[in-house]
Amino acid sequence: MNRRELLRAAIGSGTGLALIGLHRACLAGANLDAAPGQELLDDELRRVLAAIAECIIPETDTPGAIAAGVPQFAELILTDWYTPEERQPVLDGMRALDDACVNDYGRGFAACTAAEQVSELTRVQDGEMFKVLKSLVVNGYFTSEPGATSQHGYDPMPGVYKEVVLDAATGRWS
Amino acid sequence: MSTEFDAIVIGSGISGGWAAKELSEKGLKTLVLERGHHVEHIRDYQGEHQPPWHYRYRDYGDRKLHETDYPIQSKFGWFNDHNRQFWNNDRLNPYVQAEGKPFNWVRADALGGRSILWGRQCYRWSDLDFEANKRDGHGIDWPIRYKDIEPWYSYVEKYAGISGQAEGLPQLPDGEFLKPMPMNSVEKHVKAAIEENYPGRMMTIGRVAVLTEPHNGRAPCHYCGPCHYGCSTASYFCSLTTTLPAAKATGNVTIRPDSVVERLETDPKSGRVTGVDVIDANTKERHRFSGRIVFLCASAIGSTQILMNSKSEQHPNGLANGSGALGRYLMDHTFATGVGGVMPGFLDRNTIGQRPNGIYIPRFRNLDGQDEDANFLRGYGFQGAARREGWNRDVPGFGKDFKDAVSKPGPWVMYMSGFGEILPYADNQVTLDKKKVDRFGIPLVHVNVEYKDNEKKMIDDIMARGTEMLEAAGAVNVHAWPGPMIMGSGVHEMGTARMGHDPATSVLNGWNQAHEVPNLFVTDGACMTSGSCVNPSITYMAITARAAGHAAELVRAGAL
Repeated sequence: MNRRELLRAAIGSGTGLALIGLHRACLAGANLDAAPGQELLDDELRRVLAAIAECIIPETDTPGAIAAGVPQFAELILTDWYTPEERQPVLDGMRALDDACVNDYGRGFAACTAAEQVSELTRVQDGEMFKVLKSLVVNGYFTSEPGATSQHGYDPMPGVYKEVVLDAATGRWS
Repeated sequence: MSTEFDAIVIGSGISGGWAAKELSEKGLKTLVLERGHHVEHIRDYQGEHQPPWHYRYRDYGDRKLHETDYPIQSKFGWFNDHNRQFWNNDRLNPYVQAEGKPFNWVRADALGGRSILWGRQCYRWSDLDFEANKRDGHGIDWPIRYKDIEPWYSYVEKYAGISGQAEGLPQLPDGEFLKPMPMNSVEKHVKAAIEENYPGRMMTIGRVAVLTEPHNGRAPCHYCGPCHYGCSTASYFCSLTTTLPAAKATGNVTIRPDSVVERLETDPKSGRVTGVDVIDANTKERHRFSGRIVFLCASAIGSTQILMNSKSEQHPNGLANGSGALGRYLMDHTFATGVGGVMPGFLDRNTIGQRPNGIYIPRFRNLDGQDEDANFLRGYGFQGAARREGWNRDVPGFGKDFKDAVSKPGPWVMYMSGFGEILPYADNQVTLDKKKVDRFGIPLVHVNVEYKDNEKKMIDDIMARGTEMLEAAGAVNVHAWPGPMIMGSGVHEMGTARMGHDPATSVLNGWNQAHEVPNLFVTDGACMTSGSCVNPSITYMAITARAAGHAAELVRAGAL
């Protein structure tokens, strides 16, 4: 998804989303254009964002989202790039997810077990919050140095354009 | 600094660079005036080969800055933090769009102009194009034909370095080609399917001003991808690395950036341009330069603005505008109409390197008279490419399996975008705003243009013919889109000071010389009498070199 598609998706999601719950009403009324020293996410939401990011791109034989600095990048884009209207459903969605975990498991999303996190994210994966965060996380990961350079075939200076045959087993070229 | 020259060239892009080279090589003391800032080859390519993580907002860009300072430029796909230093600042240099008729004026504001940022596709016109207006009566006849410009195409191609494949097509004449870039297997497959199923249609590799072999001291392409960040190896044609250095090598040229041309002063007695009034973009200091001849190469709209702002008692409607044609007939190419689909198979293959080029399907509509099933005049070509989708495709789910899947190349996709000829309409017009002025006190350009019926019908045909070709090649999930249909988006503005036989209906003669002002030549897109469907830059190069040769001859003979 490119920047403009992202924007469209974000704008499309912002309309018609009912704001319910006290803290959401507060958020809606607050000036969310974070001024210097004022931060968009509190510690709890920051933990939720990091946990969601790592669930989307976990550490394997290559770095995961947290090791690639993705949560910080996602927060930067939510803060500086998204308008308050565009990011509201994302903030609401993260808070709702966290509240649901407290209800169901007695602890916030970040403190849940891996199985619980997968279950919760599966439940919300068609919602706007998850879609926006997934695109932010994927973009943030593959445009980060750890994310980009751990991919086979990363080569900013190829010196040639040519077709190659991939290894059938790995899908990679030798 | 001397203020008197043999020749003054206004603009340093594709056309201005060529004018500077040709005039200075003919021995004329030449001044090049560029309104943008200086750019030093290599030193000022800050974004070249930079990875995304070196930029705070990476692929997203600085949205707030884009909205305040680059609302037009940032809509264009190639604008980003890697090349922002070359683009026009829309807040500092605005223009006016007619109500309900958006126009995208995609502009550079730097030495080298849009030759730094251009798409590099190079296709010769043919007599199908030069005779188009005469044949169907839309617009006036061109004063030149293919045979007049053919040697000049060869001349500029040999110098610039164009890679491509000779095909022997009458509607798309072959040029002086360096070896072609390769097609990948999927493109070859689509090519074969199109040529088998649709006689009269064919696909060739793009003809592109990117070197595939060493050429005139410049290195071949290293396939890093985004040429428009600037190229340290000078592997694509750009004024900064080709024509301007050649001009400087003569010792006859002075290049003056930050020089905003306000107006041209004409002498009522001789009828000639006698002064070029310049405002320094930084200090706002005013200067007047004079030359025996003036080459206006400031881009179609930029040159038109200067001519309109140069009105005088003898030229009450703008300089060289006795015909009233100045500012009218603005053309572009229909842009961003496209078709795409997934090409099944070929999953054991991928490509290495970023090929700065694609495929080309030359015009196949209305070639021999009007096609029976065509409800529109003239035609279009397709540019496109096949590639494997990357990490930014839609892959469902999350977690380890998702990461593994998205890290591997996706399916092959083939995209094709139609570039259609837009007719010259008198009411697609550029004027000077009656009230608003810019930071230099120069009236703003007011643009009042739109796609009309013929363009909309052509876009329908582009989508239908594109879809049938991809489907014939076995593509699935084929989808077509009309695009935003906003003039200017093709960045091929043409026609606002057109050439013609008759001073009553045109601004320039067959040598790009103003009918009414003998020492004034306009050789950028403004001069175009019709638009063709192929990219215009190589034609600007050829037409500029031709006009410069003629002008230098007139100077030598004492006629100017």
